[in-house]
Amino acid sequence: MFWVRDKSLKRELEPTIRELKFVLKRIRSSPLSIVGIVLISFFLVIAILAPVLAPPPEGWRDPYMIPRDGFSVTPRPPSPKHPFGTAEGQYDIYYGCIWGTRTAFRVGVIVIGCTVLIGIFIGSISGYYGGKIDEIFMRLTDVIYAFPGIVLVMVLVVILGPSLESVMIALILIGWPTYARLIRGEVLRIKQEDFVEAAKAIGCTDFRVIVRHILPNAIYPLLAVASLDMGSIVLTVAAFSFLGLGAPIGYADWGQMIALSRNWIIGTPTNPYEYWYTFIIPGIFIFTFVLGWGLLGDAFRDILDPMLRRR
Amino acid sequence: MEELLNIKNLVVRFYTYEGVVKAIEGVNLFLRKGETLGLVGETGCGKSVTSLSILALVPPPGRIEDGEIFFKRKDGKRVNLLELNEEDLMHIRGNEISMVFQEPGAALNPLYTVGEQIAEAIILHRREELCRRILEEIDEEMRKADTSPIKMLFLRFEKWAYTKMLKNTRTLSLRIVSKIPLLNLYLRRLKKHAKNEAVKMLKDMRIADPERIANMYPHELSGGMKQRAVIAMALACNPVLLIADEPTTNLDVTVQAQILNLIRELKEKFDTTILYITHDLGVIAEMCDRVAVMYAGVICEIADVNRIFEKPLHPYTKALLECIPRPGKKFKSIKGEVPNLINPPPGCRFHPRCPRAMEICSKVEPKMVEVEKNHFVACHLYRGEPS
Amino acid sequence: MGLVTYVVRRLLLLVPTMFGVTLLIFGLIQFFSPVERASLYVKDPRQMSSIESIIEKYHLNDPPYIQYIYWLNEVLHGNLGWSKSVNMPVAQAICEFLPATVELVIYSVPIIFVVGIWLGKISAVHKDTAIDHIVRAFAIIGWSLPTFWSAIILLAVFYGHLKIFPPERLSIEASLYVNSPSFIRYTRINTIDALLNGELWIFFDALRHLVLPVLNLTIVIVAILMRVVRSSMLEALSKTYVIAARAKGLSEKEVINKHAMRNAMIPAVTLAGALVAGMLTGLVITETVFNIPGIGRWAVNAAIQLDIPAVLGFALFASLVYVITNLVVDILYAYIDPRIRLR
Repeated sequence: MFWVRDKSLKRELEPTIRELKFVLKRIRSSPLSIVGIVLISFFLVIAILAPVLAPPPEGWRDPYMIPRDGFSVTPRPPSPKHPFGTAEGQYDIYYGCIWGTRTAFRVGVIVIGCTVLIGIFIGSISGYYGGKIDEIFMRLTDVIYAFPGIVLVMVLVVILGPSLESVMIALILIGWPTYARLIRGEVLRIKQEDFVEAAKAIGCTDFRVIVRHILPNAIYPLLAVASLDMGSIVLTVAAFSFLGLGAPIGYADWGQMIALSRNWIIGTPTNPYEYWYTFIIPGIFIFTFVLGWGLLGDAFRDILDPMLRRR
Repeated sequence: MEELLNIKNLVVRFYTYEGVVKAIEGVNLFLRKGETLGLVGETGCGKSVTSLSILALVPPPGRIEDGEIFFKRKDGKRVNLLELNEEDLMHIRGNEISMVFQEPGAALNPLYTVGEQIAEAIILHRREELCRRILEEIDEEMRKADTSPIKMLFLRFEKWAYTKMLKNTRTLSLRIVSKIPLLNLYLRRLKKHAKNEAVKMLKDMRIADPERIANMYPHELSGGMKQRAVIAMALACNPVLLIADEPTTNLDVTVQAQILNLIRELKEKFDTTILYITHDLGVIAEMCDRVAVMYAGVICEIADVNRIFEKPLHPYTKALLECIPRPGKKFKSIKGEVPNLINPPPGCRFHPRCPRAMEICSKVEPKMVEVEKNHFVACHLYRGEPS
Repeated sequence: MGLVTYVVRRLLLLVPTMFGVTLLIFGLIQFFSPVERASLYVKDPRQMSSIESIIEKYHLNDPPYIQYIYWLNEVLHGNLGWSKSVNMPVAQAICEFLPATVELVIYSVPIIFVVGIWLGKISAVHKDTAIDHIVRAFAIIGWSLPTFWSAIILLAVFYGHLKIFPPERLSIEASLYVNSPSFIRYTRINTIDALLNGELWIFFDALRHLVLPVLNLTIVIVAILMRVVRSSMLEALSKTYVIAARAKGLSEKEVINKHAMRNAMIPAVTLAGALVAGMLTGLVITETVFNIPGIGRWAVNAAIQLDIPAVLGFALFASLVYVITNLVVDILYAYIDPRIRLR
């Protein structure tokens, strides 16, 4: 990487480092954001330790497919062998929830990673160069915005066939415009600042100006949006898995597991909450996961506001 | 002559996350009827907070901790504004004491026309006058021979409504009627009359084609025009006291001159007392009879405008006068910075920047004393009659 | 430029926008093979046996722009293909399932707006007090709640356990009566039809079945709307014209409702378009869980069964509704904010 060799890098990044330190300080002082960070870390640990916490059986090919203890339809309550009980078809709920955490992070990181990268790429080019390129890209985002999200996802899923990958691809395709517009707006604002003029004046190539000067200042609003997005992407994927358009039956996905509970929600005539564990437990996982990211995203947004005003 | 407004020992503090900002610490000011008092000082010295305190509009996290503000109302009664309840205050605001804000368009709501906003003030405070005129108008229309029976019915209803309104707007029956779709058309008459008055005010502001301007939105008007509208709104109900918080600071120089002329004319015409807040000494020289100099939340010096320029006493006043750029002279500024009001300097708040500071200045706060007639100063350099 | 000019201009823009929508849908259709696409043109499954003639008739092997004309022609004549998942033409399916969805929407939308705006307002006006904290907690919980999970929990508690609010649209007795000759179905929206027929017990029965789905649909959206209203209200309350309004002598209530609220509504109205999109997702899930025969449930079943004409028909319909909603929102926006009309 060409800029690592640059000794003045540290000096140049100093203002960025200062801003980041300010952001961290404000995060630490807000109790709700601490709760968010704690929740996210908790899930991160679970995801990383999944093979240890819920080891797949011997010779099991795909760890993301939940092992079944028999084939009977009726779910069984929590027991020492199955800490969270089993769902319809005897899928181990504990296993599903643990590996489901991995699925959630995998899905979220991939989708957001791709949408952010595409968004930054298109947004910075669009904002920096303007003109025809800008027009074309903005018309493209307009076209995508003209459709309600779920419609496009459904059509794409039908074209590609229902699977987790189809849903992720669909979400990437409809998700990048948000980031593109965000970055474009920031680039338009920043490129008028003096230090950009200065960089151009000393002969930096466009690429350098964008990457080293404009982008480090443009990413702040991104933090808030991406955090909130992490939560809503996981929610959407879970919803599609629930409907049967995402992860296949038996896959370790929280939404899919709740789909398995649909026939058991009203329980038995004697005890309506007989099979509570089939939907309450995976649901709590989804809820707290999304809550954590939501609190973090909120905290970023609250911090960003006075930061914008300080400028 | 009794004073129109008398601020005694005003203390205002802001409770922020970073600490308690002691914005105003013991301010004493008075205004006589008919005069223009200038309040001059740097940005952040507390001028605006003082003006907001007069109307008891200090926004949270600010709180008026102590002090009294005596005001002589239109009916002659003398009240302490800080002790009034909200309802009485609402009668005074806009009606007896009005305010003009710094940024020309900021005081105007972007979603309503200028005319509507001026009319709002008129409807609020000149209701009786409007109702009387409307009742006469209704009687006229009732006497006309060719009125259809339906119209007659509606006119009777309107007469009842406005008679009730003459006594009190907040009666339950009127409030209910105002919510019913077809019946509340009776309010059209009120709005029309109020708007006519608003147009008249705009004409007084020397605006050409006031009808057209009244129907425009704030974003369609220039800065100077907006400020005239704001002044019209402030003077619509003939207040005895006008607080002008830097009304011309954000305007072009030429427009500034026009607005200043306008204010002077209006003062003559309506005999308004003005508290003129600014940081521009030139404007002070032009507009004011007396001047009060403020620094970091305290008043340093008060004097007639001529005396202040001829014989400034407080070191801060002197420094301010020296800073006025003059051709041929080198640029001068006051060394140091405006103090942080969370931890203000002990004793005299100016002492860290004062070229004549003595030891006592850092320990004891100077009290306001009268050095010569009508010339007050708060500085340890001077001795005089305590005021 | 006045409001009327703006409205006319936007209405005129509606036609090319609709065409743009059809163009994109058609573009997506091209991803399917000619045989699959043939099913978009038939009104009767028996026609599928002579696929060759269909491909011939609608030029499915010709370049896209020719196909587009034939396809658009069919669409404008109401032929959207055959939906194999429900065994009826797509156009008919839409008419069949629309009333149930509409019934959900007409009860949800007013609740969402009234409650959302009210909560946002009181949260902002009483900032940092207990009310504010409670409302904000509700907002973040509502945002994090998966719609399908809340639907399931509501069903488990209020139907499984307490048995007061059942799923689906009507109880068995009511649906028998509604389908009998003595009941005239004017709109096929049960609550309205019940009132028009004068059968109050059916009205209440339908209402009882609506409680849970409407509640489920509104919770998440109210949470989102409320946050936006709160922040825009806080912004408006800090503006100088609010202090100036107080300085004029207006009561606090008038200042909030006449001056601050109107300005605060602007970002909220802008959000309305996104809210409709969110509602669509919520509708799909709610109808599926509560087993309501609406458009959403039809579309999901169609997608699972790879019933392409149905999914595409749903896409077309939903997109058009979305475009019209955005138009209404834009007009509302221009009505509230005169600065927009200049553009």
